[in-house]
Amino acid sequence: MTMHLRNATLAAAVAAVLGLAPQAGHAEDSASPLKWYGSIYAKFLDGNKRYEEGLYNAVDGVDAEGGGDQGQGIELELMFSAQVSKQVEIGGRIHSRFNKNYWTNYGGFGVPDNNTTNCGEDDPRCNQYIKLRGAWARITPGYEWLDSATIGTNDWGMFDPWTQGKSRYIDRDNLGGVLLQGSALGKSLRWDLARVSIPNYLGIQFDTGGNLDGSTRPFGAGDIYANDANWVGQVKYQPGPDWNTTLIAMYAKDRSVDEDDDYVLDGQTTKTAFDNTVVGLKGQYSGLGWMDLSGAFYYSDFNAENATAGWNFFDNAPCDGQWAGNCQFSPIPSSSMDDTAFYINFNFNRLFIDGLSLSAQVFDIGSDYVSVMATRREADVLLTEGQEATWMWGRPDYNIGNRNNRPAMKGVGWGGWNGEVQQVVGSADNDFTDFDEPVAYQVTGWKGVTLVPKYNVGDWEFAAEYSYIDFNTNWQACGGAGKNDCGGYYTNEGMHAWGYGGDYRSPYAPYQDRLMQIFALRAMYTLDVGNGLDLMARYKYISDEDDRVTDAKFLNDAYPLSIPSASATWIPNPGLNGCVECDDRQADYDTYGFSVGYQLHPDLYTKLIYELHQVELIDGTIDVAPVGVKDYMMTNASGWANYLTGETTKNRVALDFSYFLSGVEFGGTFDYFWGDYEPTFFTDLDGRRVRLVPAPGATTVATPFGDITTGSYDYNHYRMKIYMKVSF
Amino acid sequence: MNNKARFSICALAVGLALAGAAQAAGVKFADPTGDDKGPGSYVYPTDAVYTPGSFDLVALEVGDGDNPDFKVTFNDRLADPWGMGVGFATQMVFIFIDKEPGKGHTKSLPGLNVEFAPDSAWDKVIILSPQPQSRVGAEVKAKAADIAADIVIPRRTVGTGKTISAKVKLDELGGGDPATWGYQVVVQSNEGFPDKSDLLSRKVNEFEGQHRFGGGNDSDCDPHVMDVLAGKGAGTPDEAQAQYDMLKYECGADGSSVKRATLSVIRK
Repeated sequence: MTMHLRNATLAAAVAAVLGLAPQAGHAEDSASPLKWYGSIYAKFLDGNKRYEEGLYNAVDGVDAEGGGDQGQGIELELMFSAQVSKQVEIGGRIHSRFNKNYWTNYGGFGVPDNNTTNCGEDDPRCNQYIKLRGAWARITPGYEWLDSATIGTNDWGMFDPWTQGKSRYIDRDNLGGVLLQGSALGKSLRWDLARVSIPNYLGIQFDTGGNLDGSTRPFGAGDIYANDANWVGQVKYQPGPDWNTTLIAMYAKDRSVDEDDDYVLDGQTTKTAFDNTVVGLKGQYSGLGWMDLSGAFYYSDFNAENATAGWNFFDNAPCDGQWAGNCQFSPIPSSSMDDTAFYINFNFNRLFIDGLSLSAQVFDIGSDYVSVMATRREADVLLTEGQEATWMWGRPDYNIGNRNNRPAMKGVGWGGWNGEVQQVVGSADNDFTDFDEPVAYQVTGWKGVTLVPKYNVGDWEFAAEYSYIDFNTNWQACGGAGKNDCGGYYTNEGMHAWGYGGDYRSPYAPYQDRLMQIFALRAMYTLDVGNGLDLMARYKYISDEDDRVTDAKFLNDAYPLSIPSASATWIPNPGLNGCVECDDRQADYDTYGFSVGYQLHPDLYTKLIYELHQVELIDGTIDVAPVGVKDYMMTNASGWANYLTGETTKNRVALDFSYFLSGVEFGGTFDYFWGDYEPTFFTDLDGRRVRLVPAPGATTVATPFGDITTGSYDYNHYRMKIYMKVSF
Repeated sequence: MNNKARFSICALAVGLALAGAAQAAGVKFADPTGDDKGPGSYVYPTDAVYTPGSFDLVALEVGDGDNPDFKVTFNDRLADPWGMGVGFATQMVFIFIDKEPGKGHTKSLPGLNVEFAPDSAWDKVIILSPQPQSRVGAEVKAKAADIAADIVIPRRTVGTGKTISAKVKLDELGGGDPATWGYQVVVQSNEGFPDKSDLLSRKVNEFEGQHRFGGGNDSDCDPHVMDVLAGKGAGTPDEAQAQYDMLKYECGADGSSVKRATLSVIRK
């Protein structure tokens, strides 16, 4: 069969499956052949973690789905599109799944025993199966009031990361819906209206299905969720080049069966598990010439009253309203709330002299701002470059790390991420990413100002940042009498979004009085040697302080007698003996980076990188543990809470390369990290926090996190990723 | 690390910045705002990354010296939503240079669907792309090998504020005085997944899509160009109409080109 005939046959088959095959002779003039295109992507991983899991990170994902650093995999992505007629266009994508398709697996050959968990031929993680990832039809009827209607999967990038964000969970186009688009006034006014299905994990306790009969159902399989949707619309008006404005609004609703309705002959009534309304107004003005102004204001209203009113959720019980209670794992709160968020950008494109520009941003994101469908990754809602990716999800882990400690050991590893940190207001998600990609961090509650000057002169490029970040989540018991007044907020794994030792999607803590400042400098210079040496140097300093409990009356609530302990000898110090400053947390991050890039060959670019990261951290005294921490979090079962006080040094030497030929791209990173962690200890003395010097001969100090060894610990982490992408 | 050391690093950076030599002015062209409509009918894709004004050419500045700067300014703050790492992502710019009137190429680059008038035939073109130099080079080899010798890809192209800039050695342009040359700037969009015949450029169709421009034709008879220099390059409002006239095109019923949009270069 010739390639042409084979493609035509495939095209006909796909069109028939999608029900879109044109009738014979229909619209022949405007129809175009089905186009096939796609890619072959191969990834090669190696590292000294030696985990044979999925070929990408799965920090908090399903066990055995990700977190591997070994093996090779190859995947096929096949896309198609066709102009069926002048009014109809279709497209779609089929894709094989990476996961654990190591070349050594032979596609699962040899294990054909109907076992879907043993990496055999029946295990979709290993058998190289291909599935439909997206399909859509776009109809352009030619009506004056409607430009187009798109039915099917979409990444929803036409909307806004604060409301209906771009979606990517494994794929960009997993999320389906119906999109209507139109325009008026000579296209100066454009509108979009969509009904977007809500993924079944974007509900309270990661579940949009409630239980009808009281039985415990597996994740994401509650009674009804198939019709849960977000309605979102926006109107954009741009009368001229100087200004434009956008009004956007959304309404998301999670509906579940009303278990109080026992009379089924008249159909089944439903209850609203949650609904979420967000309205936003955005604008931009650039008519001044010397400065551009842009900004946005959002108001959100989130209603979840059924979550705590006898409604059964994930574990067959209503949310108990406790901090770190039975609804702690969730991408959205379990109590009703409303709040606002805004930002204003001032952009000075030429500040006094040629080449000097300044961007300034004032921002305020309410602690109770909730948009269920806001972007969870791959967008950045703030100007600041944020914290350092290398510390995301990182913990010393020396005290409790072991090979079976999945969340700590199978995550991204001690090296953290290499990419930038992206600030998001959705529940940040970093599963199925690689270490060289950006990492998302949830910034709900952040407020402050960021200044970013840039200066290009001659062969030099300079950039800097100063950010002053306060927090709307600075509160004592969330304004109530005790930590359980924070019970409507989720905690997830990290108990707190601290940076080093924290979680990237746990922006709430019952006791917080935090202030963060970011100072960054970057200089680039092109040295005119050979093909030109690209030199880069950067320095970054982050001061992150949190006084946590600031009123002595809350100390017993925050640090009760019953704090779980992984140490047999640690003696609880309830209420920290009245020492308010004993739980103060201080972290100073210093980062130095240098790189040299060179075009070795017209097709090959290489970059040598050295980075030095240092953290000096005081995480309170030896009596302090995260408020509401549970014992399993400090054990080998999870390792989510670590003893962190001390000095950590991390060195990184890396070699990056990219190689292009027509139609193919190779790229890769070789990373080697080494460093050490030296624990230090503090205790209280007459109501003050003082350095604790272990007694002569003492080898450990008892803490809630276990008996912490007094010596320092050395680390190293090697990892490699090489990829090939052929586009055809 | 103590605060004294941190302040020292800051002071060193400021000192380096102040030590940079001021750039002498070369030649500058302006373009009116609001004419980012190609031949007058084009509209942006519907995805939110294509922000208003982001393809609206405002100015071209060419520096002097042996390693002149080429700066192209837009009517919107540059952004990098796709993580290209060079300060911009959605734009792609072609700066055509006519050093010797009457000599050079009248056909343009693959995917632009424009021609140049014989008296504006170009000799060199500089591509300002957020893609790595190697990637652009590989595309040129595959799709424009016959004119590759006249295509210059700067080693580093960066976006700051509203301006995309790159340095090009005068030797790569064949020497001469840039202030005496004719220029045309073609504003396109960086397409990471281009059509087989397009040089990393984004298509213009009849209907705008999430990642394609609208207001043109589904065939390749329309210019895939959002903004160019026109008139005298002074930025006066009438130059918008001059651009629309220059980019006029005509398609046959079968989508073939009856009349190609034909560009002229602008000189000071």
